[in-house]
Amino acid sequence: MILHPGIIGLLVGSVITLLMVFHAAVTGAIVLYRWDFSSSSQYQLSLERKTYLVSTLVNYGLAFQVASAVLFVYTVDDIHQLFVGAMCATGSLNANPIGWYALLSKIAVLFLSGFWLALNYVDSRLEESPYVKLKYGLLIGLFPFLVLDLILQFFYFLGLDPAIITSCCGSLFGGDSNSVASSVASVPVVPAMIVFYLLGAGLIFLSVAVLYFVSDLLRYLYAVLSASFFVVSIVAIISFVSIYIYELPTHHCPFDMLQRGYHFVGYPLYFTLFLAVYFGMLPGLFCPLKRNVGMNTILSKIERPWIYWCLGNTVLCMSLVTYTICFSNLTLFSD
Amino acid sequence: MAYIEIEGLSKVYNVGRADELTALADVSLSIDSGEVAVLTGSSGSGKTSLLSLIGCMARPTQGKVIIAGKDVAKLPERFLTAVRRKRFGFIFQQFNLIRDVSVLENVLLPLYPLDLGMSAMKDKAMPILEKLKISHKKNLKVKNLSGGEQQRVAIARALINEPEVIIADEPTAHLDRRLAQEFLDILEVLNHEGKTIVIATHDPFVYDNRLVGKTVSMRDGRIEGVTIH
Amino acid sequence: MIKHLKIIEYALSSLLRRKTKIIAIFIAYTLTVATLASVLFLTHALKTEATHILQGVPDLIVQRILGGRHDLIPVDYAEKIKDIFGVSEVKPRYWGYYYDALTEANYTVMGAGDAALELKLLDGKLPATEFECAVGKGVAALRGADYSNELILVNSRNIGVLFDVSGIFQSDSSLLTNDLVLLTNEAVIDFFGFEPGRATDLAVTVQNSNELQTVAVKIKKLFPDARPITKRELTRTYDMVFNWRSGMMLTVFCAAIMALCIMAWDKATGISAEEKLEIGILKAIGWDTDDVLILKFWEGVIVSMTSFLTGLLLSYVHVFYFDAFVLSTILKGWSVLFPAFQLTPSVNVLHIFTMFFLTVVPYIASTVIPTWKTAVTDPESVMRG
Repeated sequence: MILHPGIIGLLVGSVITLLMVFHAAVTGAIVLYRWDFSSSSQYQLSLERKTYLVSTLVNYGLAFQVASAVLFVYTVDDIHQLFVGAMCATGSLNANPIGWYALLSKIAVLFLSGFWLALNYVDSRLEESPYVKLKYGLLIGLFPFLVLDLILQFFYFLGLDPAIITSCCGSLFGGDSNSVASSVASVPVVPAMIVFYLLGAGLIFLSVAVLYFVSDLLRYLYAVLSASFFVVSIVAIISFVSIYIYELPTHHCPFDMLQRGYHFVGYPLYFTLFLAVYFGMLPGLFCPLKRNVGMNTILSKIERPWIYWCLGNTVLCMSLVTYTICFSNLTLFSD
Repeated sequence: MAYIEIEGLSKVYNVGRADELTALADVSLSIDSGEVAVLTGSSGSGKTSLLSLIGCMARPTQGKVIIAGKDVAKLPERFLTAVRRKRFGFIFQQFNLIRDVSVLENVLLPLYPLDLGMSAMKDKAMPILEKLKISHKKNLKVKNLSGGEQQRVAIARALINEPEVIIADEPTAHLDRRLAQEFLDILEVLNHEGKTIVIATHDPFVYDNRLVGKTVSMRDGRIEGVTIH
Repeated sequence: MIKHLKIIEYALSSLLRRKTKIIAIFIAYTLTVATLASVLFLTHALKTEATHILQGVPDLIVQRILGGRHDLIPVDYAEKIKDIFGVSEVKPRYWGYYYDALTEANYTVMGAGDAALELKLLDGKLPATEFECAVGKGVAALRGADYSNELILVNSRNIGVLFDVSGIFQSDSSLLTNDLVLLTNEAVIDFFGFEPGRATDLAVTVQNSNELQTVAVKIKKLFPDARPITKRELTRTYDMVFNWRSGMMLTVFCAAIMALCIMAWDKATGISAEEKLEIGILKAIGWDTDDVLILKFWEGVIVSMTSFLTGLLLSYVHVFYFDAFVLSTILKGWSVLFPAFQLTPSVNVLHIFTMFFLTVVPYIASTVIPTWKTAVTDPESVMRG
């Protein structure tokens, strides 16, 4: 265990978030079992008021989660100095078998709680709150993920031992080993670029299409494409965006770009990517709920800003990638 | 056409507890658009409860409250608030102004949750303040105003959202005759502008006024009789 | 958006109206942040000073270990090390500690032969002859030895040696040169009475830093009694120590944060009748529970941001202008040996973010439930006076 200020901050923050979401989930469970929309009893009114508490708690919880994801990457990046062989966050994450799972669970929790808040937002805009039970059921389902996240994070930090010699991005994302990460890094640049730009263009095209057509199928496709865009973009970042940022044809690290030396370019890159994917997935995820008439009308109104957000962030993310390629001193293709 | 329609309305407080209290029992009533209706009765007769149910401040235990053709009795709070904000202006017995805040800000408060710019809000407020002759005091804190002036600030606040219905609870309780007359004069103007007005009062000076179109006398949570003038 | 701006404005005016109620929480909050920030600023400043020291340190230092203890190393080891592939330069270094009974302080006496030591002189020049020395600001102040004055030190044969002060050091990091007495290499050998042909350690320069580890292993194989120390190892040790120290302090201060939260909870729960009426009025005239929650959110943000920034400012002044007089004895530990030195202002973004996380998150979390209780005030309560 390393007593690093960032680690203490993260653990304290996670425990607090967990407590808040726990309170929200318990309240949610009570609402779930006692909710009776047709009743006008005082008790029903008090349950209704509790829903405000639940959304507030989860709202804050998600905000803390976003902040803690940033702090996590920042901390992991900062502690790399403590490990022999680590040059950036990759090395720190490798210092312990749980590191990568902790990061993955953070990303999963971000998306899941984001989806929950979207459902909550939509449902509270319907007079008869038709999805109260679904909502609180899902909230209870969300809670174990947070617990898992805290546990992984805790054991990751607990298991950190500065005596460990870890391998860093150089070896992990280098082309010559057989791990998943290195095969990602060795994805040839040109195909990776083509797939990234094709998928990005597809997402932009679909955004516009979804704005004009009400087809459900289009929305499902949109969600699937957004999700694939996430994976492809991460691969693209490791495969070619990174080397343009570092101006070094062999350096594939996805974290170094978050450091000051690279003007923190990683933050806008990842933020726009996450937002684009999140908003792109929403219309498809809500399609099954369209059978409810009220939902259908409210959704067609709320959906538009989601699509705009997805569209805008996709464009921003792709421009950023294009910018780094065009203004990099590294040239892979000379003409 | 009836603007406000109430059917079989009951309101019971603290259901199932020792201090259970039936404030309203099976009340039905209708109030037309542009009408001035007065609820009378001694204190505890259910006037205020009825008033708050009409004004979407609370939900009934049973029955229907139909405002402009829509039953609001079962609406969740969030939507109830929206109806209240859109259709009703309130004048309370104690004025219920925020004493340490300026006249203008008090009047503007109902508009804060809306997506409306500060200057647009002021453009709405100034004509009302002028009409009520308190625009020259707009930057004073409410606590530095006289009772009559506070009353006018309260009316201005009730009008800022351009409501269709004005609801007033014992509005003259803290006013002398002259100010009460002034208040009724203002109401008369508003009524001429087409506003529906519902007042709860046991002040004969109010319910005997020629302005009143309908008097509803209440007792023990029930309607004793309705007089149409 | 406009809605939020208006509500922020109202939140500000509403907080100003309740000044007396807010002041206690503001003070407590500010003090907590100031203490936390002082700890982190101080450790980070010390760490930066240490990094400065390490910058002058060569990539690889070779010491000799005899009986588990550090011993003088034969200079002819250098020749063989130089033959290892990848090594570009090997230099013997001569230095040692000197306890000055007069001022009861430890000085570092070092030979000027080390070219890596690129230190700026405040005044004068580096020692050129055996009878000259350059000293750090701390030594100069303690001994009253100004430029062109003389400095008497007692050597290993208990004979007082007179040195002319040829220069005084200036450095970004005064911790680095504060206790330094710089002589020529020959003077150091003579002063400490080193055996001929022996040095304190060897400084090895390696062309490619990736080969550092390999070179270290080869040296160890070549000379079993040698201990090669890489710069990275030193950095890690420093980092560990400082992180551990600040971590310990933070853990201790968690109690302070807890106290703050309890206070915040208490303040948020103990809402006055007047406040309750105000919320009731707002709800009656058309504010939704969500709007009141937004109002309370911004109130919380305003209180925590002002306290946070004030606390940060206080601790910055405390650490960098008043040398962290409150904390220094606890945290510096080893540096009590030194005469007072000035810390170089340097702040780490991660630390600010961490402090934000450690104070704002608990504060907000502890006010959520009381705030919600206020926000769900029944609008009808206003009708019933």
